[in-house]
Amino acid sequence: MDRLSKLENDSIYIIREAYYQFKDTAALWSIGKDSTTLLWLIRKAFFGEIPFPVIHIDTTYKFKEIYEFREKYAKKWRLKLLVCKNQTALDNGVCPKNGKLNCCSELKTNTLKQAVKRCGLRALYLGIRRDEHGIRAKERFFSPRNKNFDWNYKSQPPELWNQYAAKAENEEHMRIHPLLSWNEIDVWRYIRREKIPVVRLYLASKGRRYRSIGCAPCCAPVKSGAGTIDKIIEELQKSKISERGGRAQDKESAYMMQKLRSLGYM
Amino acid sequence: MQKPALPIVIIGDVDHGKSTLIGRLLYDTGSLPADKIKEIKEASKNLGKKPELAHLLDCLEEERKKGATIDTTQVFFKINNAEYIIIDAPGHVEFLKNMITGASQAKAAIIIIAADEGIKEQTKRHAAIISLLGIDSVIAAINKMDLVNFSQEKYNGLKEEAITALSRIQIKPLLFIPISALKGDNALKRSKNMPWHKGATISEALNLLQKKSSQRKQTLIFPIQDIYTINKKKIAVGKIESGSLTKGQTLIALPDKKTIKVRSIAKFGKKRHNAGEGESIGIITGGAIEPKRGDILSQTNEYPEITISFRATIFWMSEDSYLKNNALLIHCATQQANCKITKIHRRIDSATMQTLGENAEKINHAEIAEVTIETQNAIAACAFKNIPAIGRFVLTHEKNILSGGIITDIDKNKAG
Repeated sequence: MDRLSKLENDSIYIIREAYYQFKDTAALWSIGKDSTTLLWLIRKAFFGEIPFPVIHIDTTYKFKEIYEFREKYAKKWRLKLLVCKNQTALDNGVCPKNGKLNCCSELKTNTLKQAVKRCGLRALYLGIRRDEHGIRAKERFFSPRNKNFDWNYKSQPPELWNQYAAKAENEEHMRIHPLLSWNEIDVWRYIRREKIPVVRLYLASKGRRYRSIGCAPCCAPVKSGAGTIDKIIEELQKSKISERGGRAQDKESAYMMQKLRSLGYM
Repeated sequence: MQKPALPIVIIGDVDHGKSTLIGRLLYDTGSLPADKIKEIKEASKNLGKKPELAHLLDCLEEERKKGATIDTTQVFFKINNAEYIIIDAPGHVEFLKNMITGASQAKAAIIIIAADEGIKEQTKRHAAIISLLGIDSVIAAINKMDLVNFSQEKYNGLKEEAITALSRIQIKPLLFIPISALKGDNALKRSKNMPWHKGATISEALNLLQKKSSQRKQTLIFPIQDIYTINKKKIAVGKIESGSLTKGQTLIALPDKKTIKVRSIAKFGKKRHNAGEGESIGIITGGAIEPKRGDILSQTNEYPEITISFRATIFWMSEDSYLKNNALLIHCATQQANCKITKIHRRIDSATMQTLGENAEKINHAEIAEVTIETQNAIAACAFKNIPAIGRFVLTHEKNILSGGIITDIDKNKAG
């Protein structure tokens, strides 16, 4: 079995295992390439119909291409789409200009906290990967979070031999990470193989493209001539700049991601 | 076709250079993004330390400060188109469960021994776990050769010592390699400082491990994960752990030993005629019974045993001790059954592998034990060395994984 098929089959196993344990669940869809790949795998796991809601945490600062993509594929894939915003924070003027850490934590983390509580979710599927960021390399496939969304990375449950019976003290919900073993180029190769649609911001236009997309004010494009998926894969094979190089929240300080993440950031 | 990456765990004592070796491999294979190097330099500067290769992995803030790995980490790199995943496991005793989480995913291991300190208790403990997890592709690297002036005599002494210590825990390394992870000797490049070493470099050894990991043909083991109703049809889903199945084939469902016919094989978007090892599929069935979660589907002419009692070697990860005959839940593939440990034949110190007691009443944290487990209901099981997928299990209580283990013997007198 080739690498992509192994990754696909293993991810589907994890998705099904999580659904067996948790029915009150939802997938987080940022509309980026990873979470879109995640939805693709979930659709495969359930033979086309995702049996739970798909949540988009909408900071309202996303690129317009993201919103267009969301509308098109939510319809095409018959998703039970839930768009969640932290309206109170937005009304209070929270925005990237008034502090990035606070903005991420209010408009993303707190929005998600509200959604988890409102919908009574016991588990959340996320498309994070180990190779994205050092701290994410420490994640488990099933990773418990308490009600404050704290991630106790110093004392995580053991996980072995595809047994995910994990439950931590005071657990509030379980984060499910089916893409944990994938790396960036695997995702692109899989997108090419499966012909998965992606937001066109990933493809170069006028010599620049986005390697990672999120909120428009906090994402910078990289120099690139890669206008097709094939070219992106070729470019990544040669690249020496890491994927999240254009992401502001990873940059403010070396440990910002770690702080965000232990506070419940995705 | 691209082969799946070979997962390798690196084990050894604190400060013997596990993370440094990984950093070295990443650096020498050009697997490091430029901005990552910059980030590490910056973080090290903030802590008032020199940038170190080990920092690539020890990404967590407190790990950098303390200079030790807390949890398990995975990184990827490539040598000559063969891909590797390195699992860096923590060296401290309190991180045993993280070590096991990391190591249970590995198919091969590198044991690191620092030349200035020799084989330590922790290294033996980790090696014992490797042995217990059934990983037999092992190479040993004697690191920090630069600290002993690249001395061949010193190396030979350490090698002898390690061979003796490791053989006590049933580990025979395929190769020994003298290295300096810090300076790069015999990692990717052959060392100019140790011309006396004619054996493999780490890079060559990895290539050997990759070749050795080719799979064997096995009995069909298809554990049912769940049953979905799609378009009014019931589909039994799961991942084939070993062997293969074909449309139209009659299978046996264990532990009930009822036959089931594979009417069709479903994968999203395509109908399949057959499916093999590692595939997550769904099947629509006919026959005497409908499959359910926990059933193990196998061939009618060759299937694993059904039992309510077996011998196993377990490692106790929980900090709470276990008292004989207390209730547990066993998870073996997708099977689940109430069980208890009815006999603790031997308790073993996981560091020294010395017997701590026989016919014991309890098992403590970080101990290895040879036990008899009895289940309330019959399960399909097999010695780990014959069929790994149903020869390994975890024990839980209230959804916490307390222990993991492998089956060494099925009690034939207690067939289900």
